[in-house]
Amino acid sequence: MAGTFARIVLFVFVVVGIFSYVGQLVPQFEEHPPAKKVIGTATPGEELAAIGEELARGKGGCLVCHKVTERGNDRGPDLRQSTAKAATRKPGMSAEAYLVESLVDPDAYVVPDYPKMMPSALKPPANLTMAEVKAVVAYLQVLGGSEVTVKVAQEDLAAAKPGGPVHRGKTLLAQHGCLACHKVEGEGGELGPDITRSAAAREPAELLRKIIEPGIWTTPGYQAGIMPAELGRAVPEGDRHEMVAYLAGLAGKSYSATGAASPFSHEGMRLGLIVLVFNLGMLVAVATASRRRRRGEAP
Amino acid sequence: MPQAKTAGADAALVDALKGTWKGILKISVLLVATYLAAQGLASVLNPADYRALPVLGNRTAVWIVAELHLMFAAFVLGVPIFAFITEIVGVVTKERRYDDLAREFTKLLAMAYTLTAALGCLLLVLLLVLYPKFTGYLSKLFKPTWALYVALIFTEVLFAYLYWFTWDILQGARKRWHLLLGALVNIVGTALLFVADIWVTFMMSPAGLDEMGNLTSLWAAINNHTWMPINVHRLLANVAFGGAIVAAYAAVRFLAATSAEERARFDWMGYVGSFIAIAAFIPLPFAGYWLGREIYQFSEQMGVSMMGGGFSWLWILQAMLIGSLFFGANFYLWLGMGRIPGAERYVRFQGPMMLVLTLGFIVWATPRSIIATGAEMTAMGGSHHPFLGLFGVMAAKNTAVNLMILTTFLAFMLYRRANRVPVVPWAATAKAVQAAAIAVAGAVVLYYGVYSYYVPSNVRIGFSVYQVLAVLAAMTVFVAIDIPMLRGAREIGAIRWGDIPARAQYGLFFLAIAFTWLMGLMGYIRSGIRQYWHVYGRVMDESAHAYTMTHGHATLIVSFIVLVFFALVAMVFWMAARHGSARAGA
Amino acid sequence: MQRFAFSITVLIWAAVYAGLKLLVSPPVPTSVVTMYMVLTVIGTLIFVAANEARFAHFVAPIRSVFTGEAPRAVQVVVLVAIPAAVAWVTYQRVVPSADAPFEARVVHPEPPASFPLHGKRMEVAGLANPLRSTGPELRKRIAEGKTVYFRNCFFCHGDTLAGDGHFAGAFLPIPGNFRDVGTISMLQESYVFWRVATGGRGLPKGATPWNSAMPVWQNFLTEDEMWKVILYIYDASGSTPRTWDEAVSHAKH
Repeated sequence: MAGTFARIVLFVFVVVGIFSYVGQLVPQFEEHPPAKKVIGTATPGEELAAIGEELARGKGGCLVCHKVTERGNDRGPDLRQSTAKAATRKPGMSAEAYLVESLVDPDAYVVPDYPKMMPSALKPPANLTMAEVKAVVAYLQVLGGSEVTVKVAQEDLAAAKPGGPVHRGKTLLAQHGCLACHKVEGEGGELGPDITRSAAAREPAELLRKIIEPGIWTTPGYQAGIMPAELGRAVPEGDRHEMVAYLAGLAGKSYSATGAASPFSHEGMRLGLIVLVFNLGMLVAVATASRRRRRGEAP
Repeated sequence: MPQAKTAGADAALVDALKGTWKGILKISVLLVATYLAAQGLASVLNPADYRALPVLGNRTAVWIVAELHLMFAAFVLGVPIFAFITEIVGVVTKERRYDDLAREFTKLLAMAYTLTAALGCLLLVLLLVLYPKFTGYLSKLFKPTWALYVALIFTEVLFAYLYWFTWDILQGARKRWHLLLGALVNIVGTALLFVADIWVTFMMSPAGLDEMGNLTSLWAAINNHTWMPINVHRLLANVAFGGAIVAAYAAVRFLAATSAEERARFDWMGYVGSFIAIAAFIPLPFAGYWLGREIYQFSEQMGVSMMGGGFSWLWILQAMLIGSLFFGANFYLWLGMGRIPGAERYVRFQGPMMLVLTLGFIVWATPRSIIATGAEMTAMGGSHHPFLGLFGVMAAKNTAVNLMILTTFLAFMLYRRANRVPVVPWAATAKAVQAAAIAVAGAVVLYYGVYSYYVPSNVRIGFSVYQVLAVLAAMTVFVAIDIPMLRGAREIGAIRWGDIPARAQYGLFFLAIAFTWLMGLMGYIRSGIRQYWHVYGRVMDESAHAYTMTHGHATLIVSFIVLVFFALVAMVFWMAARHGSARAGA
Repeated sequence: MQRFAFSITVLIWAAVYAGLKLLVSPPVPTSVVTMYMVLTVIGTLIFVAANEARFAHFVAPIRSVFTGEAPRAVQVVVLVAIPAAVAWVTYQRVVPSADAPFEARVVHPEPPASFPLHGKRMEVAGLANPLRSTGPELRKRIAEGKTVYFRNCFFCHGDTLAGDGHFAGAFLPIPGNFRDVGTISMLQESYVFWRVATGGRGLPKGATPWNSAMPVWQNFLTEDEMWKVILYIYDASGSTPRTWDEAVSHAKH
């Protein structure tokens, strides 16, 4: 018996071993997902511009006020003209240097007919690093039809802040450009309402919807139709849940972005209900059958 | 007297219900504990997108547990189908041994359900802890299906336990109620499989989402491109898997048997198991083609990376496994013919059949891109051979596999009639028609196989359908003639059950190993072609384990899973046997 | 017949080996010969083992050698031959050779979802040849493609498109043979465009090693020129691009 069993175990190992061996004969290589775009000193201009475009649309929140296509916002100058006009703005200053300066210190030169309202790109809400500012400049140069001349220096990279997920929801709000207009916990822009207590009056699900359909309601005192819908739609679904979870937390509500929920949540109650129904059902069945048996034995 | 009998039956009923309740309680405790543990962990741990598991790594841990859960699920879904079929056969043929066989395997279910549920719970905890963000996304998206799934689990456990505990009560006139229970177990089990497939197939071929990833239609998300093909594919595979495990169990018991009766019994059991396994295995390639077609239609990119990219090498492995399954099945059938008086008549067919199988295997295993040295490549004029290259394409492989299926089918049919001589007057004509059907199917398969080389690929895809239809038609014609022809046939002699060499049992065991390994491999391919996506094209895997590992590494993990699975199955059988003997001794 | 099971089996092995080595031209690569031989051996062994009588006859000569029933001379020959064969195989495996190592190339690796072209990104899915039409202008475009071909491609791919141009012998892997049914005729035009535009350097990791000498043609040709040359190679090789079953693939969306 033991011998037979040992032989079978050996047989299993031999067969599985042969299969694994054939698996080692075929070509071996690993395939990695496309690398995340990281800005470095050697990043080619084209790629830098591509990263800059993403930043201008997302984290930087530039398009809240500026436009890059015919349709867009006119609170700030048209960015398509920026590179061409940059050289003429300040005498003795190159176009590239001017563009960097106007991002880092917007008040150094304000284009006539526009109000002084742009916050520095290095500070919240945009909160870009110097390297990211240069990437945006590269994008502006490509947008204006000229060559990318801007170079990322080593010290620009060193300035990059390590972003820890202290409040991930808040980081995401900044990253996706929400804080360009909204204020949360005292940080952010003034164009839209303060959203620190937004979850107090609204359900998380409503907030989720509001992000992608800004038109469904407007806070009294603010102009309707300002919030761009495409900004919210560009936020991945998972991030949206985390942002709302953060807002809900600020209002003292609990909303889980990750599926974690208390035993008294809907899921927990539903599971409990199913467990209860089946166990009670069995209890009744056993009781009925027992009674029948006793009755059968009695006479 | 009748009163006492009712009282006895009532007592048995109470015991049956109590046993069932115990099973339900076990599952309840398991699920509630898992839920609390998962939520507890989720609230204690810092929020994160991914968490790292030391040593094994996130992906490998989830992979191993998920695959083991899937294999046990296949086992607990496949065995009831097997038991139900054999039970019906027992009722129809009025042979007691079929009923006993079905009962013997149903006994395993209680234990196997607990193990499956435990593995499932472990998987859930791993997913919630290691992939919190993605798991949250998926569970939110398919919220309504989770409650349904849990309810189905309980229903399945309820019916399965009742099915087992009422086996002895519901006999004789009440047998049909027991059959109804068996049918319910399988219907609920199938529903369970379908619900679980929703999540898996959505990850492969998401649907029902708008451009921003918002759910527009839950039904569209459920009924995505690959859902139905995978449902059918898995259902068939489960039956084959259940049969293969039964056969492997019988093989072990045969080899360990000490008496002739035992050997006869387990020889027969192995035959029944392998019969059901092979019968379910034959249509599997067709279901596989359907799945492949749907994958192409969902995304050419995914289809190309599955068939033409790095994963193409794994299809060579798959070809090797399926080819060896065909070899193993024929080997077992032919050895089995040795114990059937009258089978000598068919021995002469074995040579040509083996030739077809070997040639088919050779064609099927020929890679599209040949491994060659520089000198060899220059001589060939490229990395595919001008002549052998013809075997590397799908047209040749379809032809080969269809012919191999046809051959295995023929081996089966010859086995069936080995000891019988038809007595009906039209037997000669019938045999001629059967031979013609096989010949025509073979010719059609070959014709379209060759013709495929002369037409563009979109036409060629259609040809594989004609080939499959020809084979299916030939099989149908063959069986339709066979059944009336062999009715009341004269028997040359009784089958000498147990009189079979030990190597045939190793052949059976090989089928089970190859089948399990194949499941592991195909599971990897199915999951691997998503590459660095959680949900293909929608939700990206941003963890450190998003890369595609080497094939060698993957096959080692598959091998490890197979070994663990067999160890666990051995444990289930052993504990069930011990439980059984303890009860018998009491 | 059955009495000679062993001899017949060995004869079959020898015959298959000789056939693979001698009858097929160009020579079959060693890896394929090995695989075919393994399958042949397994197939014949299974056939032999699947019948008790056959198996007994097959085993008898082997057993007689090892139990001492066979003549002493046969025993000596077998016992010397087996270690000698193992030694020979071992020697063959370790002997240094000047051959390039085995190359396991995936001939048609999967294309990426998109690739860069002249500073923009091209999506492979749904990419079609914009110049393919049914009108009379097609002939003109093909003629222009021919000019492009002979100015750029013909040096390697040859004037008959058979992959045998002047420089072909210098490259490994050798240039593609467009007359082969296994090349462009089983690919979509989008695929061919991707290969032309990104060249050997654009091959993904699945196609290791990346020693293809194909230039990155987008650095030398315009988009139109590349599409035209694709029109030409399909036309001149007498093949048609692979297409997908459009009607079916959109039915379910």
